[in-house]
Amino acid sequence: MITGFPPLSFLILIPVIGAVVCYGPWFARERDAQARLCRAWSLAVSAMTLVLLLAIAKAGVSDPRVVLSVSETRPWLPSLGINLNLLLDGLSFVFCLLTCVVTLAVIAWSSRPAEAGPSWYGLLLVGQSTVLGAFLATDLFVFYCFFELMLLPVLVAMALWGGPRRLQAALKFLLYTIVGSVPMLLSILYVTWVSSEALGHSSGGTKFTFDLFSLSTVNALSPTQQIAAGLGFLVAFAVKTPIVPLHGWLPETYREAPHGTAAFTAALLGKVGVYGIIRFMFPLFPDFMLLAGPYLAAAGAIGVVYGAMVAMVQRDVRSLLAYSSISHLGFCILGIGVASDLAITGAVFQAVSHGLVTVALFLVFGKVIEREGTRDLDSFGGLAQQIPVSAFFLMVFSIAAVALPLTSSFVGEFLIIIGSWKGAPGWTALALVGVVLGAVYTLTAYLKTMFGPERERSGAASIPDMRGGEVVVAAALAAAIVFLGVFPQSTLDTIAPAVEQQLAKMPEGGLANPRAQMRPRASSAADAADTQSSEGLVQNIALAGKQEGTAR
Amino acid sequence: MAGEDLRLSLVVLAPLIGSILSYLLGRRVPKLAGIVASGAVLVSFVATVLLWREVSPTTAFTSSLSSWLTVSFQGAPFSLPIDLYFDSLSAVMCLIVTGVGFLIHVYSAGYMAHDKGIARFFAYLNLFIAAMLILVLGKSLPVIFIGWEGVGLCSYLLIGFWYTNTEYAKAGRKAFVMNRIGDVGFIVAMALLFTYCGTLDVVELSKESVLARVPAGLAFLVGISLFVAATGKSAQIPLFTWLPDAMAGPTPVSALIHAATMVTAGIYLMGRMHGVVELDPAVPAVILWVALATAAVAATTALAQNDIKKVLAYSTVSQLGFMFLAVGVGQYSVALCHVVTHAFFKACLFLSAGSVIHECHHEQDMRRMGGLAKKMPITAACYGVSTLAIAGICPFAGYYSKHAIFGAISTTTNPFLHPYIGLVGGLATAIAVCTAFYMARSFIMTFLGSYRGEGHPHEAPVVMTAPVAILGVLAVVGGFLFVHPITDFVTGPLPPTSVGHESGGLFGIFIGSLPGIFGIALAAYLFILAPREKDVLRAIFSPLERLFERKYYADELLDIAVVRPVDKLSGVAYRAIDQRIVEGSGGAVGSVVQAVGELTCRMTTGQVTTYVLLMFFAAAALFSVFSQVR
Repeated sequence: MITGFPPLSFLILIPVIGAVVCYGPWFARERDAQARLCRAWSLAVSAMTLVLLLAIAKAGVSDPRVVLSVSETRPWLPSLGINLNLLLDGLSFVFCLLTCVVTLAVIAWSSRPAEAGPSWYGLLLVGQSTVLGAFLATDLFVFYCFFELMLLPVLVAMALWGGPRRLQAALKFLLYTIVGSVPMLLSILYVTWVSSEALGHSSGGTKFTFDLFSLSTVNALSPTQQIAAGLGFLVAFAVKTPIVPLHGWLPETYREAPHGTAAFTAALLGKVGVYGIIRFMFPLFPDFMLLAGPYLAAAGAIGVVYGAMVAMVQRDVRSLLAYSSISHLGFCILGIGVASDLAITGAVFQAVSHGLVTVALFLVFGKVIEREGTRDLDSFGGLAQQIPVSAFFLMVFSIAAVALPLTSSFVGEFLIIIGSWKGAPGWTALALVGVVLGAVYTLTAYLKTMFGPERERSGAASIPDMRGGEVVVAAALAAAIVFLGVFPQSTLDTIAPAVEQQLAKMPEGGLANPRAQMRPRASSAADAADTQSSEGLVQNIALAGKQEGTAR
Repeated sequence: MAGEDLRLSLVVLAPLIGSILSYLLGRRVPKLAGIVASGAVLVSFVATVLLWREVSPTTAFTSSLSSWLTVSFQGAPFSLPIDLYFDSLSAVMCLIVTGVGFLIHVYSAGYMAHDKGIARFFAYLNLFIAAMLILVLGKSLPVIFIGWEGVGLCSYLLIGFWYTNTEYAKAGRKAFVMNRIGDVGFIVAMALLFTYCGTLDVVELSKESVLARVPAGLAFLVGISLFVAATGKSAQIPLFTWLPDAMAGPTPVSALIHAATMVTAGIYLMGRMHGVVELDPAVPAVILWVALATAAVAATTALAQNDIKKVLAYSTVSQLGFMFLAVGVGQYSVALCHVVTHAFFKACLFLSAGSVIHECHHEQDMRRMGGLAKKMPITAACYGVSTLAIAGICPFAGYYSKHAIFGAISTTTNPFLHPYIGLVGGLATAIAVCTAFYMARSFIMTFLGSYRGEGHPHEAPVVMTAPVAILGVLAVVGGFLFVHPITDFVTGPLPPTSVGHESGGLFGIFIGSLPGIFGIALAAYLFILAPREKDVLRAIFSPLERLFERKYYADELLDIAVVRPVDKLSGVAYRAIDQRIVEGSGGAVGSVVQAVGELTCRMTTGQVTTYVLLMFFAAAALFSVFSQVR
């Protein structure tokens, strides 16, 4: 790695810089031409981000025995202990990769520039940047900033170019996520506050830090304090993922946002919730996570079935996709609740896979919606003959949504189920009901859209079948989904070590194990954290913290 | 070893590649689709034959296609390689799938010649063969599951092949969803077996030492879960109503998927996992009673059907029930024999029916057929011998396997079944009479008497009659050529059968054929010699006829018991719960914000930006406090 070149910061900055260019009105006078130029430009920018990400990862694992772990630290507000700590390990890498692929796909999709014009592309790039930031930040405060900033591009796009009820949807989205994340901010401050004494122990004073690894190593929170602080985090992530019943914002947001924004939101925003729980909550609040495990597993399983049932009675395609997202992400929550290595690895895989499948479904259905001028499933029908290419890809993506083997979703769901059975057999069995219901609503949606006799339509033929860029995007997404289903090994090898590190403080096997059998590997986590923290004294501090803990 | 590896991979890969090629070529030159697809299956068949000659009851080949996935933590590694396993059991299944599959492919080239979607048809059909081969060759349960879901998908696509008809498309969806219910059983079984045995490899799972790790309390659950999976795929109660609806697909599809191969996957699974199935003796008992009920319900339902394909569909369900009878009494190789002979005569029946339908301009109602024996003699002959075979008349194929099933029932030692052997045997005999009766009825209505339709049927082209004729010959000779060698051949993977090879002399043969002879004679009497008495009988049994016609109201019962409650619950979940969450939450969230806002600065203006600013100010304030403390 070239010294002085901060690659991870660049990764976050490139899309923003690209976005600024989009707002410059100086490269074409006519609005359409401007939009076309902007599209090409943002396509190049997002492609460049993807290439940079891959290059960083490639450089990070020059030796195959080395686990991916690229980190960066630069002071931001050192007096407050806030630093720009970024980390690209296996966990953040797969999510960053998903972010870059989804952004690229959304931009590349429509061969016609979005009716929204140039600034829409700019917003999307800003969105990419903030989501990347959230996936990379390991400083709690910086993470929180990105977590909040993420909303803005979606909100603005929705408020400007959304559906008829866009303002209401935007307001609700905003309120929900902010009310959800304020407890997290308080929790972050609380954690820092409680840990400050232990951290400053060696120097006899107090020392503030927001660094995840220092905080996790010092381990200053008693189980009760963990519950108080953990709940704050959980609320924020539960709203974002979302976990039933905190999903009130989701259907309207998915319905009212413009096509591309909806696809971007559906594919990525929820994943930040899943990622956040795994990245921050397991290392910071292991006792709380064990305590909350059964409830999370229950919420996940109920979410799977509930989401699927509600999806079954939807007539609006976008609503159907919204509730199906709740259902599919319920599997992730189930796995997170059980907290076994296998289940969490599955949850990460499922989250990534769901991102790909969802963006694909949103884009293809977007095509159908655009063509038919309605989102009502009952007014579609018989389209298979008119738009055979779309019909083919929609079938592929529907199969993937149903999680048939050799698609990526199967790998994720199967790992979660196998990994969760021991810890929560009842909830896992309940979630399996969702497997049946998932087939019902997915195939029903397909049937109502594509099958049946051709219908007489007025003016529908003006929008042709998928072509050009759209076919390339759909084919690439389909290839990615099948590739992850047939050759999941390299991805799993990336995810698994990172997951193992995240779970270092949890008892092996998660819920399936009695709490007493803590892993003897706690020191390896400290080793890993060693590289992250600014001082080499971490272990001493950790010891001091533990002694204090026992004294208390 | 390398040679076997190559051949074994070829068995699966040939139809997979054929699927893609036949689509791409068939799009341009429709005729090529059938040729390429049939050729691919032939390659697979030849490779299977070559392997089959080298395999014996005690040897097996393994070929690794891919390592698929391994997740290893400090605990037990979880690894799922895609390995193929060719032993004598897979060999028999592969021979059926590729052999009968090839004949049906050839037939389809004629049957579908004028269809616009011929390229798509053969792509699906070849894909089905590939998936079915993965199913029977998979070395671990997840690999079997790949094939299991693959055949389900192809079945869905092919049932709804003529998708412009919404009813057909719905039949496909129904098949998929009902199979999916069975799949949940499969997944549960896998989760349980992995949790307790630590492996999903079928060879490992046949070892007693591995199976002993399943806790006694869960043995029943594991076995029953696997059987639930089998009921979905093999159309047993309560998941059988999709199979008659599946007749919406083109007739060669019905012959291949819904008669000869896919629907026997449940029997294959039971045989392959017989160690698990027999962990708890209550499981075989449940299997036997379910099988008997299914066989009876389907056989009586077939009595009242007028659609020729529906008759054959219910007959398939009923015969599958017979196979599960053998499974229930632990005679897996006998069940497998019936799988083989059934594949011959049922494929032959379906293809003959297909020729008839083809020639009668897609007329499927037997009341508008009749007298076709004169117009289509070869087809009639094939249908005729297959009817004799399914009726279980010596020396036709069905006699041997059915006779073995009857023999098997009497040998059971299962404590749950032993007291009821007489009852089971008696009912099975009655069902056999029914089978002979409705099959003879369908033959008489279709081929004898005078033609009642409006078309001008004549014999089908050679490309269609030749495969039918070959299957017809197999339906005649299949029994004594294959059945006893098969029971010996598969004794490696399956437990040896206790059913003897004794024929019991001429009298024994006569007794064995008696149910079939009686059923056929009854049909001949009622439909040819004394049609008036048929009406008398009909009047007596008219309430029953309605029951039979509606397949015991199984669809309606499922509708009331499952579909409507789920629909209703979903509606309630949406309207009563979700609408409130979604609509109510806006207000609730708003009031929380308002409360917080008033509490902190009493400056609530209701504007969103205020809240954002508020948040940052709050953060800033907190930080200044922190700095002070420091």
